[in-house]
Amino acid sequence: MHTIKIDMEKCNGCKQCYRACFVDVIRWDDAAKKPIVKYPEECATCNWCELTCPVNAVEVIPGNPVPIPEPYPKSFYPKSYAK
Amino acid sequence: MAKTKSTGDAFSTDILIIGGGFGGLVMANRIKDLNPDLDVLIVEKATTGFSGSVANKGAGVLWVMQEDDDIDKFRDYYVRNHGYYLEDQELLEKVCVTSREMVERLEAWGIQIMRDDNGKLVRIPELPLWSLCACDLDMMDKLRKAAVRRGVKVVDKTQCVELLTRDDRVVGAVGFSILNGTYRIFKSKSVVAATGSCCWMVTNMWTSARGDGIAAAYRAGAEMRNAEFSNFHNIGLRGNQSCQVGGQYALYNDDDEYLASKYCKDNEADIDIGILLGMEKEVMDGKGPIGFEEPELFVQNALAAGGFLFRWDRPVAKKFWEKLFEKEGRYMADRSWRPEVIPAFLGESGPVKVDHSMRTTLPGLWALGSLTRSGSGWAGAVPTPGRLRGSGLGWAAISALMGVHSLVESTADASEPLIDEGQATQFKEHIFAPMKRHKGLSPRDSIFRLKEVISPPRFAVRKSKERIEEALTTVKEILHQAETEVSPANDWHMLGLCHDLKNMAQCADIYYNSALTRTESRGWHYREDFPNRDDKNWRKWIVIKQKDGKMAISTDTFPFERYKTKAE
Repeated sequence: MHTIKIDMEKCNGCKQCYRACFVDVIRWDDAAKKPIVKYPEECATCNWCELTCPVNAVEVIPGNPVPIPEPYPKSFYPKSYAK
Repeated sequence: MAKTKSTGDAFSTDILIIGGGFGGLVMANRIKDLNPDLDVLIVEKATTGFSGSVANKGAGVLWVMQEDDDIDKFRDYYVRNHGYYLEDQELLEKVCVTSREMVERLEAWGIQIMRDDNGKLVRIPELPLWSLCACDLDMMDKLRKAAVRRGVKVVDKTQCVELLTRDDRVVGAVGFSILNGTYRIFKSKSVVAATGSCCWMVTNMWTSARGDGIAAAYRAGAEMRNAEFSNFHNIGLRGNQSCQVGGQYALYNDDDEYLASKYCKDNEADIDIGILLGMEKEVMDGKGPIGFEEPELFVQNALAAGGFLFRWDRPVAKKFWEKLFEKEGRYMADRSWRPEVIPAFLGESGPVKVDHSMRTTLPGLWALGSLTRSGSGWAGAVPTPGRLRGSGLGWAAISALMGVHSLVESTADASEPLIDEGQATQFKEHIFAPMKRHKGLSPRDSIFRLKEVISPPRFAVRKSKERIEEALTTVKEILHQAETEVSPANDWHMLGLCHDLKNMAQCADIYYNSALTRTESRGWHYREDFPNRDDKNWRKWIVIKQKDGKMAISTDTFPFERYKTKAE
């Protein structure tokens, strides 16, 4: 899974990362006035939260390999697995 | 402002735009150009100005036919090489002409389009029949600010699920806040669906395109067209989903054979289905895995030649792409000399049927952008971006400009809509029904299961009756599970995913039924059991709609004999 690290010491509470996220990974904590990384499972690694942060408090760390359905499973393409 | 009613927060507007991406924002701004008195409200699942499937996460390139680009030559080329005689050629010409207006409008709203020293739009010499120019990736922010300044209202973080209808006319939409679950009812004289295509969440950057508007329009009774062309691919590095545009010219099999000479024509404008069929054949023959040799990317490849993305001086795009490449390099999954590549499924299903003014078949509902690319008929036998890079972003704006006049005129003449309160209440119960299931299947697991019958090449590239039916069996099971077994586990974000699952499964149902019906091969629709093009029987469009709760399939003919580009 991808990781989004936010340095809360650096964070100035501008909300840009929360606004930039187009897949609802980052939520906003109204009480603390700080972002919360709540749904990293949906992260698209577009990096906009990191790019828009004015104080460089955000870092997106891609978790590769990304789980996707195997395009060429062994049961259907045995010859390329036999070598 | 919203009024709180017993059922939820109620909003009223003249025009409701669902989707705050590029197309929705172009439409909002242009409505205000033409009639500043019309109230316009954008409702957006994420944040208007940051959302959308491509605009600020893509190349920022725009396909344009400049005044001195020859539309007749382009049409002949496109029909013969991309759309394979399945286009509405008259609409194709209209799209070409409107691309010029697009540039004019975007510049009027403060968006810089790259021009050369002579004031001409910059172009790529290797693509002689059209102009591929670009704008910087701050265009969304500029469009949002321009719209808000002119009085366009915005409701963000709200997932629209259903369209409200009364007497067969669309009169609004309903949805919920993804933050706190508040039910929201939008009453509107006219509605514009600008929600993007369906990409089934397979490849990361395209993950927000989940078919919301397509499925909602289908459930409301709108016709879908050309849905079988829903299988666009790039070439992607295995492991980190990095798409290598133009990568078809940089592939080798495990016996060190160069694949482009076997499966590609020389200097293709963009990837065709042949290389995807070829890659699978090599793997099937025991010559996999397929390797990618980066220096070869720049050979024969118009889009890579000379540094496609960095050809223009675009500070925001430069920052975006440099960051992306830096991350890809640092976290690359396969560091071998020739990393393995696989077909990177994008999908880009866009079957909502519209006329030349972007009216759907439902009165009161317009649609624009990617969700209409196939349904409009101009693209022919190929999904977005139609092997025409820059036309995804371009079509979002062009379709808005083509639709705005009829939208504004109809809305100005329309009376105050009445919504069916009973329908709004019924939708509320249905939308929140999954919340009553405190335990059950995870929507994420079911979405993955759906991807398993959408993205592998044996379903997505090389189709057959048997495999389509296998996929459809799974799709039907998932649709049933979405209604009965999938649980959001008391979480509003997860409720959104439950609806995404249902919408994506419905889009898959439409896509595969259309693919099953087309018993020929044409463009990106390849049937192993019908490998040839059949102009006698299949130079027509497949239309799908929901009637009395069941799928009805028919065909539309088009006046091919009237079109200028004739069959060879």
